[in-house]
Amino acid sequence: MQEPNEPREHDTPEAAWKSRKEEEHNTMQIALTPEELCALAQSREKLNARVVRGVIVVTAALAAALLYNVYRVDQPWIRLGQAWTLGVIVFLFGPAFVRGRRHTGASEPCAQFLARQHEARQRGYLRIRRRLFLFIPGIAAFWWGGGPLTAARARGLDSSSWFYRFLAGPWPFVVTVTALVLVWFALGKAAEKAARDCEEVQHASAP
Amino acid sequence: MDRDKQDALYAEASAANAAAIRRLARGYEADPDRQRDLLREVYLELWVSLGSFDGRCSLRTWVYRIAHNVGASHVERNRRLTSRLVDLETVEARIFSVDGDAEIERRFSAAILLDLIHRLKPLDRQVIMLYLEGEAAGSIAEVTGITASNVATKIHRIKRMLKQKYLEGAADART
Repeated sequence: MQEPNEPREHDTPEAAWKSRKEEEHNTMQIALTPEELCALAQSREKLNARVVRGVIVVTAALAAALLYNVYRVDQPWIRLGQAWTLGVIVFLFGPAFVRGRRHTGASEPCAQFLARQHEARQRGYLRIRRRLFLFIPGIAAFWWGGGPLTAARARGLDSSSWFYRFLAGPWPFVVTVTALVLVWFALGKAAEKAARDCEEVQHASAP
Repeated sequence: MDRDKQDALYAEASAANAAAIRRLARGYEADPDRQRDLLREVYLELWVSLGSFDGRCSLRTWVYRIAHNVGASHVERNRRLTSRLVDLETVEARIFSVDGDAEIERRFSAAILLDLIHRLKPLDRQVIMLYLEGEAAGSIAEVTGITASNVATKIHRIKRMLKQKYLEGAADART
């Protein structure tokens, strides 16, 4: 309900912009002291470190599972496929762990800041896109060695079921590669959008 | 820079610009809870960044850059929303194409102004908010990194758009 003496409408946009009742939202009354901010920054660092540790543990678990398969499975093509996939995962995502905290550069002019963010986004998409098909040899070797069927048998899947028959044919390979192609196109589209955004910002800041 | 100087700069910057930072947070986020988070993020980034403040620009410009960059990053993180954001030209074209007074308000209201701002892409949003804060074109160019001529063009568009949306609408309503 509108309170008396609290006009909601104004004669100029500047007056309207600055007229927002500052006390209206008590939640907006944040006055953080340097000590609070220092504590907040430290807790963020700790949280970030925990997240990185968590991701490393999950990746290591995945790598261990793949390594276990390499060791346990007799079929050389499956071994090769798993080892190749493990290598690609480390090649693709390993640098993310050693890069550490990214410099935000939040004090630079907004156009440069935005352009840099868009460029980084575009580079990230293209980097993954260019290397996405590195997974194919691993997938092909795994399929060629009868990996899907081996996994199905290990899970006790009935050999007369449709899913077993599906796994016995070329479809696991076709479906996985089709999914990779779709991801490749999606990453290309995302990179194009990032490039357009970057160009737009650079155009605005060009002399 | 030592911690005492950083803290003193932060105290000065946050005291002088608290209201502007709050308004800016509203311009970047409509939800009050998320506004609070954004505001916390702005203050945190401001405090951290002041450790490397070199005085090459004014403290006010520095505060605006930090606040707008954190706000723009906040908008960019919500990718689903970003795809629906438009530039000034598009908003202006939509307002000018409206028949009757369905989109036209009789007087300026902060809520409608905010609604308009929330539709814009980050860079245009920065220009309109700095303009509404009363910053001169040169100062807006320094904060945003957009050329002065581009800022002048955008301000001209903003003025025309606001005039069309509000004042001419009021005239139409009276007749």
